[in-house]
Amino acid sequence: MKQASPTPLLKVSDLRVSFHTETGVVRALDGVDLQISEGEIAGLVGETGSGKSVTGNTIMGLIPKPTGYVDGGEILFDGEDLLKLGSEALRRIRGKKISMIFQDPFTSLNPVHRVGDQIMEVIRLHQPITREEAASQACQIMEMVGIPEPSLRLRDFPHQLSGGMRQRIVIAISLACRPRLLIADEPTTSLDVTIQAQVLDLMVDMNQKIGATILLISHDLGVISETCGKIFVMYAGRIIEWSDTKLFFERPLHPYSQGLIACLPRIGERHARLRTIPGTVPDLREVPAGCRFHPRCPRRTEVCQSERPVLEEAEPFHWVACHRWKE
Amino acid sequence: MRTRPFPNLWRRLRRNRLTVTGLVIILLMILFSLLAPSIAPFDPFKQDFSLIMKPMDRVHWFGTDQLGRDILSRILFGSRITITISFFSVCLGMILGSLTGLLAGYYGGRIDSAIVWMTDLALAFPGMLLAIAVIASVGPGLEGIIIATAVYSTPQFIRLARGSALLEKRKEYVAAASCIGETDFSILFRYVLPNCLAPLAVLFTLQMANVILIASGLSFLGLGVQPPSPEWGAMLSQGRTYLQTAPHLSIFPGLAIMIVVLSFNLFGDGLRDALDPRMRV
Repeated sequence: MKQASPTPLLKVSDLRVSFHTETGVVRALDGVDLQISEGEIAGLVGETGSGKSVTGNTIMGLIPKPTGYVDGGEILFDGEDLLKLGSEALRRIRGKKISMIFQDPFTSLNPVHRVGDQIMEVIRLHQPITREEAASQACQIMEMVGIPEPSLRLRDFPHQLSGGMRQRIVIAISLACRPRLLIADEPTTSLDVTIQAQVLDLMVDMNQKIGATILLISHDLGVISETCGKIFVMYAGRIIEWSDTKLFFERPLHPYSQGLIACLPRIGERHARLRTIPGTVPDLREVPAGCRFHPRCPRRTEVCQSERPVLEEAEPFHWVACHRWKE
Repeated sequence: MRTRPFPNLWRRLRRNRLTVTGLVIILLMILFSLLAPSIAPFDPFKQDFSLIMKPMDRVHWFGTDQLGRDILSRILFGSRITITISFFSVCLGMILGSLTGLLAGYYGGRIDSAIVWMTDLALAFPGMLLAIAVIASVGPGLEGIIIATAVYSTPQFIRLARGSALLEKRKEYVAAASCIGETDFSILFRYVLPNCLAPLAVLFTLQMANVILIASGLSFLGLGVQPPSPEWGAMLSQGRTYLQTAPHLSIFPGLAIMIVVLSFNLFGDGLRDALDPRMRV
């Protein structure tokens, strides 16, 4: 694991995003802070509705326009605030320096174009090269992501490939221009378990070969623990704890993180039922005051109901936002 | 191995006998219209006053009309007019309508609302009435009828293309496309449009049938192609006067219109089933 370099590749600070819907204003992100250094694989974990995907989409500039608003904060990528860039500048960065993998490889490929053309598309968008050169680059990258006989598969349509193969194509597209940051939004959720492991291995492999920094968004602590060096835990639109992965699993500090880890089923342990954290994620239209986790927290006190805890350094590479982490 | 986006299209089409029948008749009609000058037994404009309103016989298979012209030859030549009108009109309607609908659906907002509003307004008029109104302003004739029927079919294409674009733009591959740095233009024409083509192709065939019917109707009313052009609707209209004494003057052009409209409808229905198996009842 690399040490944190002085200027991180991606630094998100106090990011606030809201969606104005017919039933009210949903504050999806309420002060999100992230720091990812070059070459790292960082995991972003949280329950459904905690704002993981919104975070990824906002970095990518994919907030749906009529309803979604970025209310504040900044996203520094390589020293440049992505939120201040115009659409043309943003377009040049997308796919070249930052790219994204989506959850479902069955819908994230264009069904009417051959997969080879889709890989070549991104290459030719960002590099002034001929079709033939792009085709040979596409073959190379397909080989690299473990697609057998790339020169034949180049001519296939997405519907002719299996889910695992499609996700490999998606990864090939996202890595074709050797981006510095790859945002992977639940890249393995819709795949079966053996393919999941292969795709995760592939991503770790690509991180080492290409040197792409990866932000892996997942609700699966198991996936994160296997692949990521750093972990961010999100709850109701905020980062509540971030840490070196090893430290996190040894000493989770936030009651929510402790709950999450306690929920993981372990082989050999005898439990009639799986453990859960009581309660549900709050409705983001009416969030609880103070610490957003307090209604579900076993250790809440009065201060938790009124004051918002800020992230503080509990130990090197381990930050937590909780009033009572010391106890 | 050769691959195509709709690999089973032909096999699915072939499964339905009515679809194949429709397609064969359409192809035959196109063939006849192309070959009309060489296969028509007589000159469609040649009048022969010794042969006025003769019934069917070995020489004049469909008989002759009130000016002694061979009806079969006139129907063969008439198919050229029908095909010209319907093809150009539907193409015009499809290009204008799809582009407008695509832009409206993709960008949304106020322009979308305005376009939807105008489309609904146009669709509220009966198609024939709308076409007559347009003819009234651009004048009768071949161009007039093409414009009028195009105006009739454009809103239908707008509505369909807008709906499809709305559906497609929410799919993940469109988000993925903007993630790799595609421009709006390229997302619109390389991602959204090709995926909307299937329903548009179905509407194209069905609109061919509608436009043929409306064009014949306009000519019947004297607003379309003018005599002596052998337009089917116009022939029907001229034969109407002699319906009791010489019904074959109207029956054959009427049959021609019916068969062609029917085959476009059959083919359109079959194409829809083949492109989207879920819609099959």
